Amino acid sequence: MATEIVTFAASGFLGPNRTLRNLERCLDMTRHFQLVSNDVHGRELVFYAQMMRDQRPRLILFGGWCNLYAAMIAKLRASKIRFGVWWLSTGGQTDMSAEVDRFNAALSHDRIRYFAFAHEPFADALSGHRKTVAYLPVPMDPMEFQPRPERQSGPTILSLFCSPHEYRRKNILNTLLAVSRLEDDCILYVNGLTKATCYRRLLNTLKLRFRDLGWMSDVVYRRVLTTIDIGLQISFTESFNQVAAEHLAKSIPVLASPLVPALAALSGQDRRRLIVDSFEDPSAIANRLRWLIHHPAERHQIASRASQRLRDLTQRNMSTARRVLKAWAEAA
Amino acid sequence: MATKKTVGSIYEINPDIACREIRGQLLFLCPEDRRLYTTNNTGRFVWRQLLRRSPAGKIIAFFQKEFSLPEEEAARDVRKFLGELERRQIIRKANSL
Repeated sequence: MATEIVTFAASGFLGPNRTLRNLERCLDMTRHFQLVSNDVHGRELVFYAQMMRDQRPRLILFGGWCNLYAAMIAKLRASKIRFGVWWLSTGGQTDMSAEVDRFNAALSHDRIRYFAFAHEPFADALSGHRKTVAYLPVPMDPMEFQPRPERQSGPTILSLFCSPHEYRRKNILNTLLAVSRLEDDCILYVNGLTKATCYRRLLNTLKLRFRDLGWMSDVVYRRVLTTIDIGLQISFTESFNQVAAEHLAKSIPVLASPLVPALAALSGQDRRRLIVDSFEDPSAIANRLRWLIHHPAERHQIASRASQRLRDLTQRNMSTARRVLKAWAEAA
Repeated sequence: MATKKTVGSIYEINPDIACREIRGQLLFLCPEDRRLYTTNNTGRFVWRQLLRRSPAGKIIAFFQKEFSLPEEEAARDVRKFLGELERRQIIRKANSL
């Protein structure tokens, strides 16, 4: 059977590409392609437009928005294919990343009929809009991230993983200040953060013990995860936070802000241990972190419970995503 | 990689490959990594021979003539290209004569 929903994301959109590949893998309802060239007049777009004309999917869903997508729609103007956008950022992220123009362009595009949001409140806010709006949660198959045994010895390994375009919302300065307040033997793992001069200088100024692993392939990333004791994702805003979810799925506790939906399903007690309400206060972050470091047995139990809660949450999310995509494929 | 033993080999194109010639350039979409690959003019020539199911030896001969190359250089270039296509699972040997 031909794929009824095809997804595209520009190669510069790392998050959307990763999420759309996950969507394909988890639900097997879509087929994803990454647009490598930025040339709106290039051969690549012509290729895909011709292919779409031949394959005639019911719906093309774009990850985020950029001019490439508008150019593809223009090439497919005569076709009966319907178009949609999956907006993966929260409203806050959209503001912080100066993406309001892109958002507006997508929202006002006359051929975009379907608008999906990875952040439920964002979807709710636009539910009265003339477009078909839905909450399409970020899919994740937790079975791909099996729990790992707790490490027994050595310094505590902390992770602060994010990609460069996320730095503004990851609360990095407060997180680094918090880590610098710890008296314990810790190593902070980052993935490319030192490429940003300001953070490299800060890490050195604060005399933090760190290791920059740079960009990691999926295989390396999964291997590294087995060495992490505590993840740090004390973000200012998130629509889900895949990295936090992947840590939890492996039974790695994650210290997070209340704005990380991946930890939304925690029980009351675990929430008090893993969520830092005063996420602008490095001392408050450090206090939570210190407790987790000094209580390895409790930390492991919390992580196990959080992992199970996450599995339940992702099951619900996948059901929701499957239902939305099925409805859209049938309606288109 | 194709060797001298394979000059009689006929290759078949992976049916899952999407391939189009756009503005004189050949573009492939491989099913595994979902990214587009492009070839130059010589690659396009070889591809057309593959579509005609020409055996490797004939492709080399046609290639040598088309681009006025010494036989050894033509054989090396064609084998390298076929080897690359095989490695990416774009083509595979249909039979060896």
